[in-house]
Amino acid sequence: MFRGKKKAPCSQSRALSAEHQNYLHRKKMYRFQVLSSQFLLLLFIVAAWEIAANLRLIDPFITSQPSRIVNTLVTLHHEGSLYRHTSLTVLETIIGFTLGTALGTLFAVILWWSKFLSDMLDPYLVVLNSLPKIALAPIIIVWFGHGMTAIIVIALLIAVIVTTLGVHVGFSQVDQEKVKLLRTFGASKWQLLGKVVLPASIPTMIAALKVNVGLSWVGVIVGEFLIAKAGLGFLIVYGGQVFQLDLVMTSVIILAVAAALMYQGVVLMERLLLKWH
Amino acid sequence: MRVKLALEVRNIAMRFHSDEGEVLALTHLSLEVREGEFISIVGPSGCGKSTLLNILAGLLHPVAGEVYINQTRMSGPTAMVGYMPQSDQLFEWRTIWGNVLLGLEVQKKITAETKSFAEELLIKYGLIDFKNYYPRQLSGGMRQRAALIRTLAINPQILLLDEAFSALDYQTRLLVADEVKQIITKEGKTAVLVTHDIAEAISMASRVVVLTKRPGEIKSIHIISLDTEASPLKRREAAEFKDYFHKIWKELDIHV
Repeated sequence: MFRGKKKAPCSQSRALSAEHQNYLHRKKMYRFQVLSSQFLLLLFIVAAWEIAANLRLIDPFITSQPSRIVNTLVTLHHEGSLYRHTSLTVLETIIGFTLGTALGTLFAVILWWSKFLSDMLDPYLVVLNSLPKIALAPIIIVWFGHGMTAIIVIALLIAVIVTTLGVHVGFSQVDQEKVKLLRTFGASKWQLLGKVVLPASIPTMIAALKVNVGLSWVGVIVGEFLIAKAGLGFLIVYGGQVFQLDLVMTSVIILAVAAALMYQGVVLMERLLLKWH
Repeated sequence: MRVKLALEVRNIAMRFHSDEGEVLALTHLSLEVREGEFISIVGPSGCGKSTLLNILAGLLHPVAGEVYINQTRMSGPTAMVGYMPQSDQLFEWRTIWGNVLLGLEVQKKITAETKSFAEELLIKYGLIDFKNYYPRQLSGGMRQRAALIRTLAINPQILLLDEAFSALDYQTRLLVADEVKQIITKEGKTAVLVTHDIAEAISMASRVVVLTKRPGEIKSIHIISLDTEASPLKRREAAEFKDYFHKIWKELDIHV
């Protein structure tokens, strides 16, 4: 919360006391320990994997190994296919969670607007929410064709219901006193939506967006497994089928990095949007 | 000379319906408030104080009777009435300036004139330097002042204060009540304060209206002849203060 720009407590003088310096130093040391341990853990895993594979303690044919992964990365890089597959998957995921969040929010607005619709549709939403949406993937492929559209629809389908329910609950938790205040000014329903309900629910919507990023990855990867034309999901499933574990592991690692980066992007966006916090 | 009435409540009644049945919340309630007057309404909890306030704010329609604001029959929320909610209810995502303009924005009355009026209020009440701050950066007292300016910006004639200070701690509450009273007097507004705090009711108002238990109707009206020039905090120190307090306390007939 406090960004250090805040006034220091009154007891603090210009010069830092030895005790306070000590406190800051210990805090810094602790952070350093955490960071270095994190790095060492990674180093250990990579080294152990590499050594174990070299000593044939594990079979690199089925476990792959770091040096082979690096080689695969270099090959893919030269072929240019690394970027084609990665960017396709990333693009599908972004479209999936953006559309999922946007559509889910739109449905939530409709439910907020009409209590009747909300009450009427409630059991349907409950069933749809408990249904594993992945089960619908074959239907989606039949309907939308064997391509990118179907993959995006699968990703979006996974995200949209949970967003609708979550954001709708968020809407109903908006402080009723704020809504009342606006009504005393004579606000219309549109104004209630635009001036209180939506802005007050931005944290809820961002929380939904964060969940949707994860769900969208699942949808896209499963979609690529099934459609198996291109993308990281395709590389993984193809690598598995032809027993090229190097390709599988490389794709998984790229996937992990891309997912982590995307999540950080959302966190950054959250910080920009919620600057009043 | 006939005194101008800012607010007139004529024999209103209010009923609520639920699965358990219907409840008569208010009945035979009539009240007149003169222009520039400050009245308080107290009553046992559940007596329909908030219902009355919601009716005065135009959010609820009484099942019988009428409400007149400036001799005009009320049919819904009007710019002539400004509502001060419990706790300040400033919107965290808007700056102080954004919050102050909220009412004008909703009523589509943002003009150079209304904006400069709002700005003057900020200057007059010492918040102009905080115009671009977010509410969380302000102290409780300042937030309350900003909330009051938000209400005053639409230039209402009557202010409704709904337990307006109940969210503050005791000391702040006393100071804010002082400040709010002073501002309301200075702006020449009529005010209706609904509270469960008898001392607050006496310290701020020239009349205290006591409601009965449900269905709420007027039990008695106490004219408070404490120094009208003095601040609520000063008025609390007056010798007669505790007499009023005891009288109203007895009337409220509170049992635990």
